[in-house]
Amino acid sequence: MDQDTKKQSKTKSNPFRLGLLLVSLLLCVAVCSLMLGRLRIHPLDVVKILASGLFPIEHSWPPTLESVLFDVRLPRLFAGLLVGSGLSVSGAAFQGLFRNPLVSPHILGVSAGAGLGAALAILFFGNIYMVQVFSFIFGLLAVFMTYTLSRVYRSTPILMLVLSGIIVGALFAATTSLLKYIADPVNQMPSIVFWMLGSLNNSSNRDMAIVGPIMMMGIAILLLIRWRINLLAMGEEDARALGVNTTQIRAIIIICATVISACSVSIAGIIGWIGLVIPHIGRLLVGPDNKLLLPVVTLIGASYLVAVDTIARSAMESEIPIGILTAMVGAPIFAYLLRKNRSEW
Amino acid sequence: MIAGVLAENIVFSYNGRLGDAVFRDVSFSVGKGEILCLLGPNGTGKSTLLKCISSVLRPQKGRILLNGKDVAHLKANETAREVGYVPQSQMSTFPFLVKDIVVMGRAPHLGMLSSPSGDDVDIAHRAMEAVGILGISERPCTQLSGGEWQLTLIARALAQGPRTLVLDEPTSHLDIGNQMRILKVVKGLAESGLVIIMATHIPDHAFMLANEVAILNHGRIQYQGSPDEVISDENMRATYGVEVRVVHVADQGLDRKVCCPALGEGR
Repeated sequence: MDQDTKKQSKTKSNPFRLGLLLVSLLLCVAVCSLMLGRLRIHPLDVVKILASGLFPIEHSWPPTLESVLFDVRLPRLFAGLLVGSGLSVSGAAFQGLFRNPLVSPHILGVSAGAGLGAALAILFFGNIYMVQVFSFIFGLLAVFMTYTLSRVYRSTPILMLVLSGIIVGALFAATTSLLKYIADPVNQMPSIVFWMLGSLNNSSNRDMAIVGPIMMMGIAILLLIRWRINLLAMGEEDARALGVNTTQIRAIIIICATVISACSVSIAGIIGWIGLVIPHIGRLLVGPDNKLLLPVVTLIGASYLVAVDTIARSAMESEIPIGILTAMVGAPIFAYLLRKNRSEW
Repeated sequence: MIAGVLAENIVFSYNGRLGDAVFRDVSFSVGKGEILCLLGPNGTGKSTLLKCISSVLRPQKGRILLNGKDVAHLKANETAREVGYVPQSQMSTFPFLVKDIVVMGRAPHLGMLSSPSGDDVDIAHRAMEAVGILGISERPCTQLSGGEWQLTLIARALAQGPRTLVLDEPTSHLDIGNQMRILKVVKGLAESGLVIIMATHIPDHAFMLANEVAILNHGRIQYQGSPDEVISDENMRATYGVEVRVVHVADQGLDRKVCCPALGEGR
């Protein structure tokens, strides 16, 4: 027991060193993701081209490199950073809120809703802009329905939220299946399927200018209230006895996590497993205290998704949908963590 | 201003209908440094009553004054600075360290966006010292024994800096050694001037600690007074439906009443 405690406090010591390590890891991953791809850019060129945006540097590189970097890779990097950190932070916050380490940000039906929105837009409009708008709106709609349904019953709010999420999720998923069934099997159905597999391929500077600030705000709010999530994790009644307005803080967490997830789904499709796996890796590193956990999870989530996306677009001739990779990488990691962390989360 | 807790004619119903009230017209008062023991059969609403006093639940009628302040007019965090609530044991899902749990008691003193400062950590440290769990402060709460967990929750309630402490069956599921350790801590807290309201299933605990006993049954407080008056053969039989003999033990340094339930042989 004493040895255990010592071992734990040793690995959990020095959050500053860990923070520094994670930030450096993130920078490395980011530079790699800018370098790699069909067109390889030398890391020195990456730095020079980036710097040329701010400082007057002589352009010693072909203009294609610049446009690849600024118009394709940079927005995609930002999308990866925000989607990765956003989904991870939402997952960690939801796990605290639901007092259950097996919860992911999709539990309230946001991805089921977004899926239906995307399918509808593909069927009726067929352009990517409408797909993004519809998936965002339907993602929010699904969670709103879940929340409203859970308020109808006057019993344990957390349990009702989970059950309502299952109900609403099933309804939306079934409707999506119906749309797939009636969709044109040559063009529309494959686009629906591909969209559901997730990809950062469509992220553009314009998207990031709209969605970026919203996601950053959601992440910032969750980070600001992170210590309060500890209180919720002790249970509804304990939190109330400690003077916490549980209804209010629950609503704030749900709104932030939902907006973040809906934004990520709208720009990148459905990317699973991140919100589940990354918080577990975080807990292994710093323990369950959300005061440390949430910032750590933000950094790891960002690195993880950018790394996986870089693999997705450079490992094979054609791009592998990222939702497939996050699950294929995430599931074994999760299995390993369960084994390593058997007795506790 | 009156020091202590005063409850007047409180009525509580989970569905809001007064006809389905868990209890009605409950009144009592407990002064500074006093201990009120709440007895009563399972399911009579002892926990519900304690939650009303700690503002986890809001009674439909009546009023509760904490040191002269009406709970109905206090904000949630203001109430939490007046009264600390120690719930019935419910282990945490996440392996928070004991010190992290105790510092959560500072929540009513902190704003929405802040997390505990060095001062808060010091206060939590003193709370752990007061109940004697400094030695386990670095341990994950999932590895605690029942007694240690209960002491952790008491320390968390103390970190709130309250003048009233409400405990819901703090000795349930504990062996007699841990039971006495908890009762000693509770007694010490009363001596330091806290108002204590404690639910228990063991009448002997009332004889050991309480200045006042209330028995909640059939939705009302049926008996109320000093332990000697309230815990009698007749009242125990009426409350619990079994034969009970309350005897005085004066042997080998012991000098108090003891409650002996019988396995149906009666008198």
